[in-house]
Amino acid sequence: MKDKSGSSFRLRGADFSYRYFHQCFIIGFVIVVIAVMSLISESFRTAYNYGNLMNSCFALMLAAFGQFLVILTGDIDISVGSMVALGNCLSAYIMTVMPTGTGAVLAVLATLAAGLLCGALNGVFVAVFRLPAIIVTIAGSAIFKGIALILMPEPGGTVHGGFSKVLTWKAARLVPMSFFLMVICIVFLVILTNRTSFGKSLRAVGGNESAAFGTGVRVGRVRFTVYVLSGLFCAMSGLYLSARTSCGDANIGNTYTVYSISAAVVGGTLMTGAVGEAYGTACGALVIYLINSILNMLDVSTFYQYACQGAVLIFALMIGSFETRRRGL
Amino acid sequence: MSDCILKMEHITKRFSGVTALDDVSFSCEKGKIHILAGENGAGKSTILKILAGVYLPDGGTITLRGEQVRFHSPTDSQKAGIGMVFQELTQINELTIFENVFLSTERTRGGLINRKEQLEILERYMEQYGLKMDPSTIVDRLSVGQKQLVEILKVLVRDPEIVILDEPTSALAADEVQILFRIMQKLKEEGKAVIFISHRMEEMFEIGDLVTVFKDGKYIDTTPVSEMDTDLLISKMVGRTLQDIFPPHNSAESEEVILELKGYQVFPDSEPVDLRVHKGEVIGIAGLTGHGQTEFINSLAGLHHTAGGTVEIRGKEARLKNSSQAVKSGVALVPGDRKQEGLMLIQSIRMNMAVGSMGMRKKYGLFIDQKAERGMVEEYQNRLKIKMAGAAQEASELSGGNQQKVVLAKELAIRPRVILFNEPTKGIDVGSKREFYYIMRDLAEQGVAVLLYSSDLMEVMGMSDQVLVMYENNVVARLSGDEIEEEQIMRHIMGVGAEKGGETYER
Repeated sequence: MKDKSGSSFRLRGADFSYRYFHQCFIIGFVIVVIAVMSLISESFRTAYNYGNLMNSCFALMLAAFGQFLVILTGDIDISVGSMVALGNCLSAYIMTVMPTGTGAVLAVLATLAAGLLCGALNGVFVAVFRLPAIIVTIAGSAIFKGIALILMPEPGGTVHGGFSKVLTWKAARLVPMSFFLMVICIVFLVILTNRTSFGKSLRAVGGNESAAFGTGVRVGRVRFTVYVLSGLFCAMSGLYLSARTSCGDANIGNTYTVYSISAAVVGGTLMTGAVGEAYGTACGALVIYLINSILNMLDVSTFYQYACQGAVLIFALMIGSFETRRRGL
Repeated sequence: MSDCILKMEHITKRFSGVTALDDVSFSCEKGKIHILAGENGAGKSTILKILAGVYLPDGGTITLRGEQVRFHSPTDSQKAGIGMVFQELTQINELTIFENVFLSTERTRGGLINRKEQLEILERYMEQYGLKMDPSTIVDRLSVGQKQLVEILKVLVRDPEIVILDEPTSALAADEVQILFRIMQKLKEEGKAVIFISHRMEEMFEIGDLVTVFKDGKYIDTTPVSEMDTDLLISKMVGRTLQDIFPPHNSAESEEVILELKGYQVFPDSEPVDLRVHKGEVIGIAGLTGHGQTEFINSLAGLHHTAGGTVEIRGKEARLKNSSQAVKSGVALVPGDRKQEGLMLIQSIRMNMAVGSMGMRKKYGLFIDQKAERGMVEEYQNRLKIKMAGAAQEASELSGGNQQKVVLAKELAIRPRVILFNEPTKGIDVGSKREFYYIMRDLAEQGVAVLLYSSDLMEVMGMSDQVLVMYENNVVARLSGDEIEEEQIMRHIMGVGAEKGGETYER
């Protein structure tokens, strides 16, 4: 134990690295990659490219935030991709049927409500009926995807122009809306997971469920809330995709489940729960798109991009397990 | 008594037919440190868990501050001002001390955790009770003893009136024990009631005011510590008679050594052990839960690391680094928890019996010989007198005793030279126990080395030709013949052995 002088709740030294090593690593990694790419490639260091990168990864980032919260409790949400697709299709569907401003507002509200509902459905089965999360969310995934397909059997529909403009607006023609939204989300999540009772309970459930229960944490309620939040983030992701693509596509979320898990893990969230930060997850999502963007610039085929992402994921897990082993666990 | 804060009267608790507490009454006073003493399974932990809201009693009343109460959950009990430090730790390793201590009782302002206020509270308590810790340390990085102190801090911050400490010292180093005692003394001065379970005699006499003795789920009596001494306490805790269910010992002594341990060390800081098991011998291991007996047994089965020494089975050195090596060397283990470690409950009896020895019944070196497997099941069913509907019956449908026999059959099927029993008769009826004892003795006669650990002292005494007593991960005594006698064993178990008592306290 360290000496008592300056006793504080702020983590230092080995305690700091226990919790933040991976986060620092991934932030450093993102900065270095962007810096190096900007130096060597003229086409990379354009304002357009930076904005584009931000925009293209923001939808995944939102879904990954939801996934991140679920992983903090030690579970996994397989239905993320389908909830994104449902959000996308539902909002596009409503705006196609009601192409007015009212329709757009209604679409946003209905989509957010649908996200909450989907999350609540997952949450009830996991928290109340105590079924394994992976099974519940696989089933949920099929249901939500099914509904999305019923709404939009084929990609199509239109999106209200104003709605689309707001979400793709750029400040001074430079900084995209998604950047500001990202900052808001990160601030919200950092406060939620670190400065509230709920956040501590969340980490406690992921760390040791029975101990948390014995201490008086309402485990069921925490679990339920986490799935609802995951649903909400996925609905927002779907809405953002509608604004960006101006249409609905039931297959748009296909890769999101796997990518959202990758983003959280690459960003330093432990699959066993309890440890992880929202900004790490944001960086994780960014890394996935950075790699794609770089490989695109180098004219590498999409097929190699998949392989490359797999390699990055394994690499991130190795950093994690290296850290764990260093702690002698 | 006016200071009486808690009264538990006529408490009865049964676990699936076994009576753990039989009409027990217990009360405690403000400003007193109350010791609970008794052997393993005497009911000490059970009554405290009832008080902490972990178990519901089957009968009896709890009166707290003159009001009758009933606790349905740990939260109920906490709200009533009872704080229990459990034997097993309830911390979140990934969080800091600061975060753990305030978990679920966070002080908030405007929905956010008020870290400043929490830190002030924490510092006040740490100062008050003389604890020095950096609140921002991640709990994972603490030693077990330090974690235990955090656990205590967590209870203190909830400001309970009754503090229960269930064997907190077993994980603490000597200086940490002193910290704990200071805390207890302080609590006492503040007029709180402290209930303390310990198995170390000298601790009881150092810190306690009153000592209540439990035996076999019954209340014996409560005496002021000042009127108590070691001999009196031990004689109150023991005093059962050997039941007539044990087979006679082997009279003819054999010189043939089956198992030999040389300089065997399970933990890096434990004393090396030398042991010879002759043909026909049963070696009993005694000790209170958590003093290294299970690790000792498991290490021989390749399930626990060893720190040094060699093992020879029938004169040949055996490698026991993992369980498959152990099985190849002919070491079988009947594990302590048959439902978790011994059986696949939803599988058939046949599957359960066959799984350990499948390699021994192969057809064309590839397929399972169904006929041989059926024969094997039948053989053991007859030999061990297993009551079962058929080989296809699910193991979960059997009674405890018969389940344990299936586990034994599985282990015997590998044709062991050494067989280790960890609590083999826990939760099974007397009739089956008796059968087990005869089977053990029979195995020993046939030349299998039998090692038996049981928390039931009667069992160890009734079965063993030699008894090893373990205390704090060390074999502190080795008794044979007439020395195998309850008071004698009990002394060593409690760390006050007649000959080597003094040195065992060195850590």
